[in-house]
This record gives sequence, structure tokens and C-alpha cells, in this order.
Amino acid sequence: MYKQRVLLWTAGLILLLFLSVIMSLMIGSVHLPVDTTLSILINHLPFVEMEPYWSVGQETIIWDLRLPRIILSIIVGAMLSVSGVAFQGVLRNPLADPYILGVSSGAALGAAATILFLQQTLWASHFTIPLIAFIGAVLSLGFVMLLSNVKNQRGNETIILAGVITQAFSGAMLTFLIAISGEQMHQIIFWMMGSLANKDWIDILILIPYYLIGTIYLYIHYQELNLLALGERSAIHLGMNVERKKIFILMVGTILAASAVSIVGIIGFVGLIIPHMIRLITGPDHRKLLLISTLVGSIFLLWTDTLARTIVPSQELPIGVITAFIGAPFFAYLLRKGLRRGIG
Amino acid sequence: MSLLEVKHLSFAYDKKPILSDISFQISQGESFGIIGPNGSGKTTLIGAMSGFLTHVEGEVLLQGKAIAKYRKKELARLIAVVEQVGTPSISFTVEEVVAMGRYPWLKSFEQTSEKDIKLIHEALTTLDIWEKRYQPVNTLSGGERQLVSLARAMVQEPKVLILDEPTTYLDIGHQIMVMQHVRKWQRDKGLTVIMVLHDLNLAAQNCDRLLLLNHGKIQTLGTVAEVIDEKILEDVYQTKPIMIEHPVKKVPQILLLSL
Repeated sequence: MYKQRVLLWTAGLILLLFLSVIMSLMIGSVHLPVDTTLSILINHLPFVEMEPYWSVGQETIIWDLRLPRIILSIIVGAMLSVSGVAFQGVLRNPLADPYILGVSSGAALGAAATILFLQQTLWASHFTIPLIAFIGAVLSLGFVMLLSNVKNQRGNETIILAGVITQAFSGAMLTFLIAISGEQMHQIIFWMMGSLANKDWIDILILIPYYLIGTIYLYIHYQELNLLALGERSAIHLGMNVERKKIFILMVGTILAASAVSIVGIIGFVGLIIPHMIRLITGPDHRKLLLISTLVGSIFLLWTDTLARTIVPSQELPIGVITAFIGAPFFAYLLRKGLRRGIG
Repeated sequence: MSLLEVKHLSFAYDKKPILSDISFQISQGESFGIIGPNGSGKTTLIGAMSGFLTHVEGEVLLQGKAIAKYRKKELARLIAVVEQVGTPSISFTVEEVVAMGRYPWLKSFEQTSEKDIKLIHEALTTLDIWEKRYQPVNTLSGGERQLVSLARAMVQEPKVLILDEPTTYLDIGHQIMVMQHVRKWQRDKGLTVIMVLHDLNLAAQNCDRLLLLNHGKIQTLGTVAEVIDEKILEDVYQTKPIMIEHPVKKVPQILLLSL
């Protein structure tokens, strides 16, 4: 009964994700009918040769513009939510999210520095921002790990505070860069608000290894994440190598978020809200929580990105604005609900 | 040969000594009580004996091998600990939490087998929490949560069970139930039990030997009759106990008089 319910949920969500992809492909400044959309997709399958009854322009819109963007939103949504589950599981703090160890500010600093100093001089500008943003995020993580280390043990509060310190410092440097940035200010601010626009298949190929390895690593550690709910001391008594697993899980979660942020900028609230919401539905067991959060995160980001590119005609909205717009009231609702139940 | 041996164990926190030069041995199947006033180092001592505290001086040997040399899961198959605080207030169900006791026996990502589930059900029934198995732990009382912790320790199938104040949150009925159950488990499986107890009468009735700690040192180590002694207890606890004999068990018991 129990396993069947999880299977049912999973199957339902996969179906919903699939339908969402088709619908989102059809929606946009140019509206495409469902049969054309499906035909273009099917025609790209191996060993399928169809007589095209659609224009080259329509094919470009589906295959080169909308589909990569949709797939990217699915991957990024999954990465941020699964990472959020890991952070909340390890730190047992309801406010924990993938950015708590300073990933976002480190990445933003890297991106801002690149936009300001390097962009005009380097040839591969499409990749320099992600690369240096990623380096910035990893440096922040390294700094947090060093700062919170006491005899190879790290208390959760210490880790969180080290994250706050790191964020404050890179935030200060970032503000400084923005202040001196002049005409590039616009570009930096927009990067920080997150966007999936102007991405292509190469960005997806870059993210896929991080996505797969990171997600699988967290999936196979669902038992450890469950044990941590008993408290670290009990987890140790049950034979878990708490110090090592904790750091590994946090690092994997951070790398997941860092790679996503490096490509699409800072998209807030997904990694915070989705795990909370799913926990209400599935309960605390991480076997279900990780799986369902991945799927719901994907669907959520797919639709918020569809909104971002369609809600104001002929203008892109930063996706971070929309996730926050939906996320904050929803979080308020969860908070009140939790308070009424006497937990929270 | 002794199952567990503590050799010249010392521990200091912030240069303040908590335990100093503790040595004793525990043999298999024994019921060993650790008593002493607040702050005498009882919890620290079992922390070191269970392998939780690592930065200690001296040695703790389990089956002749230093406890620090065991692999974590291997150690958890030998020693189970029921903590004073019990299971925290989490939304996992009773059955899920008890099932976590199988962790040291499972490989990474391995699912629980028929045999595991049988053990889990046995523990739930024995401790009288079968009816509550689908309830989230955070809906249970402190005492019920303590029973959940004990059930979790049962399915861990340890050779040594360490109990830190197992009866703190329990009413007298459940106190007796837990103690009887631990006794039965001990008889059936040859389990070795080490328990920290505040209640000296409970300690006198349920332990073969007692270790009385005071200011991080061994005050007395011996049989119940040797330790539950008016003079010794008055010395350590700074209060004068009234000694009587338990009418059925014939062990020393104390009454307290507050004026």
C-alpha cells in the first residue's frame, strides 16, 4: 500500500511534467498548435523521418529556443529542490536552503567580477561567467568549511554562522563592485535576479553530469538523512559516520546549487519552499522526500520560467522575481499553518 | 575475560577535569549500574564507553579491542545506547524510528528484509507500542518516546546495552515494565547492561554491581550491599538516608526525609 502510493505519486508527477513540457512548448510570443509541436518533437527522435508541414521558423522556436530552455528549467528546478532537501535534512533548520553556505553570494561575486573586468577581453564570454561564478561559489564553500572547523567537527549553528559571515563579506565586495560598475550595473543586477533566457544545449550538457552525480549521491544517502533527524548523537550511536557524511552531503548539495546558479543566476525560494511543501505531503522520510521534491521542483521551475517569458508581452522578467513572488506568500501560508498546528 | 574494560580513563573539558583515572571491568551478562550525584561525570563516562567521546585519555576495550579501532557500524552492532533525552519530537512514525535501529546491519541503500521487519514488530509488541506504530513520534508523551528509543535499541541486536537514565520520564508501571523487559532480554540473549540511574532503589534492585562516581572519580565499586551504604551515601550526596531492606528482594533500599 505504502510503496504503491509513492509509485502512484511518482507516475502522476512524471505525467504532469510531460504535459507541462508540451504545453509550455506551445505557449509564447508565437503560439503553436499541439500537433505541430508534437510532430516537431517526434521528428527529432532517431529513425523518424517525417515530411515537414511546418516552417523552419517554427522548428527553430521549438527545438532551439523553447526546448533547451524548458529542459534547463527542469534540471535547475530539480537541482535546487533536492539540494534544499539535503540542507534542511543535515542542518535540521527550517530556514536552511541551498544558498545558506554562501554559494549564491560567492557566485554573484564571481559573475560580477567577470562582467566588470573580463568580459570584453576574453573570447569565450558565454562560459567565462559560469566558470568564474562557479569558482566563486566553491571558494565560499571552502571558506565556510575552514571557518567552521573545530577539531574536524562542525556544529550546525557554527556552519550556519560561518555561512552568514561569508555571505556578509562577499556581499560587501559585491556591493562595492556594483557601486563602481557604471554601465555594466544593469547586467550584474540582471544576472543576480536569475534568468533562463539565451541558454542553449551546451549549458544543459554542462549541467547534466553535476545533476546526475549530485542527485544520485543524495538519493543513496536517504537513510543517513533520516538518521540525522534523531539527532547527531543518536546517529553516531547507530553507526553512522556523522562528521564525514554530513560534510559530504553538504558539499554535494552546495555543488548542485553552485553549478545551477553559475549558469542561470540566483533563483531564490525554490530550494526553500519545495522541500517544505513536499514534507507536508510525504512526511519526513527522505526516500520519498528526495524523489518527489525533484519532480515537483522541476515542474515548479518550468512553469515559473514559462511565466517569466510570457507574462509581460515581448519582455523577459527575471525568474527570481517570480519565484519570490509565488514563494513568499506560500511560505507565509506554511508558517501560519505550522503555527496553528503548534509546530514551527 | 571481561567483555568491556576501562583503563585509566580521564577526560577534561576546557581544562576542567570531568573524569580522572577511571579503571574497571564488566563481564558478559552482567547488569552494571553507574550512580552518583549531578555533575559527577556519569554521562561523560558512558559517552566514552560507547565510543561517542573520542578525545579521551586512557582506553576502553571491547572484547579486547580498543573501541576507537572499531568501524562505526561494527561498533553499533555491539553497543546500543538509549539516551536520556529519548527520541526527539520529530514527525517520523514510531515504526520508522524503530526501523532505524537496523541501520548498522544494512548496507548502504539496502532495504529492510523480512527478518528485519519481524524484529521490528517483535520490539513494538514487547514494549507495548504496537498500537502506536503509525503515529508520528511528536504526538507521543516523553515516556512513550523513551519506549520508542528502547525498541530501536532492541532491533539493533547489540551485545551491550547502555541506558542513560532510562526511567526518567516513565511512570512506575512503565518503569517496572522497562526493567523487567531488560532483565528478560538479558536472560534470553546474555545481554550486558550498563545503566546510569538516579533512582538508587531502582539501581539496588536491578543491578548486580554498582559504580558510585563522585567528582569524576570512583568513590566505591562493588556489590549493591557494598555501595548502598548509609555512611558512603551520606558522604557523597550530603544527605542522610534512612536504610531499610526490601521486603521481597532483600536488597538495601533508602528512604529520604525532607524537613
